[in-house]
Amino acid sequence: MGDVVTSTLNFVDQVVVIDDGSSDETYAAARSAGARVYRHVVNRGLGGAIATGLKAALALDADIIVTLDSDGQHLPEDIAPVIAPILAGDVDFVIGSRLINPRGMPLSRRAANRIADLCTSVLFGVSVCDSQSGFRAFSREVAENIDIRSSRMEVSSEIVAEVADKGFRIAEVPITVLYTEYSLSKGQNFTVGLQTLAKLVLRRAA
Amino acid sequence: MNPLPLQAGLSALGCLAMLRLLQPPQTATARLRRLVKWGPVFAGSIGVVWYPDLATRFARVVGVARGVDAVLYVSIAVLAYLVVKLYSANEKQDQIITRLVTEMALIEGERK
Repeated sequence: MGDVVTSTLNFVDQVVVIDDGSSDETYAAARSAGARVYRHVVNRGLGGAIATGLKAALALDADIIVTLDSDGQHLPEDIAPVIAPILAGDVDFVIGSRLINPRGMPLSRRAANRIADLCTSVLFGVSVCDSQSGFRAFSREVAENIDIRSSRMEVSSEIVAEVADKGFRIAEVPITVLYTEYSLSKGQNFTVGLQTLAKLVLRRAA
Repeated sequence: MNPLPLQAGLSALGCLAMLRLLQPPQTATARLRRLVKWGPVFAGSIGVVWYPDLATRFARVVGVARGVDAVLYVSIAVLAYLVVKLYSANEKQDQIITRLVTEMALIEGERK
């Protein structure tokens, strides 16, 4: 955690870390590395963490907000190319896509992501190459206007749907991902995938 | 075996369920909506308990051979609907808890 914060600080003004009810040393490690840390009293999942992170960044007057996974799979060096289309005023929201150049991504994960993209497309009518990527950049306007309701993994599709629904422009930029044993142990299994799909269907019906 | 105690018991349960539909803190409109939605289900259940032939007639109307099959299919449909309703209500509670946790984290973070 500390290394991710330290290396990310070379490319941004501030780093916000959401400690999602962890019982390890996440809070202390992130804080001592220079991040502003917000702690959830109980674990709420990816969606809850992103919602808190976006609100915290808005309160800190961020112009552009980038989300990265804290397991070290994302390279902070990719922040510059990911935010470039927003800085140029071409788009409002950028997805750092792992699937434009999917070298190194395990086949099972590639297939799971394609299925998730298909579900996002069918349910919300938005076709993107990598709807589940955790590497995203939001313009301030997007962060202020999207309504994140999901608490768990379904938030990735929900964000894409919300951004498109509010009429914001979306772009995808290729990123490099480091797959380690730890990062591969994270993410969704089949059961969680089905639960995520059920929640997305409910979200669509709401 | 005398089916009367079983019929009386099931009818009492049905009546209790009907009474629950009318209980506050629901508004008058919500009570009426619930009564229209669930009243026929409970009234129909009580009716079938006393007059099993009703189920057979209903089965013929919907194109199912036996009354017991129709009762089973309707039960499955009602149970599936209730599961979705419960899942949806649980999801709403989950969202509310997340909002609370987010607000608490932001307030605590601002203090530091």
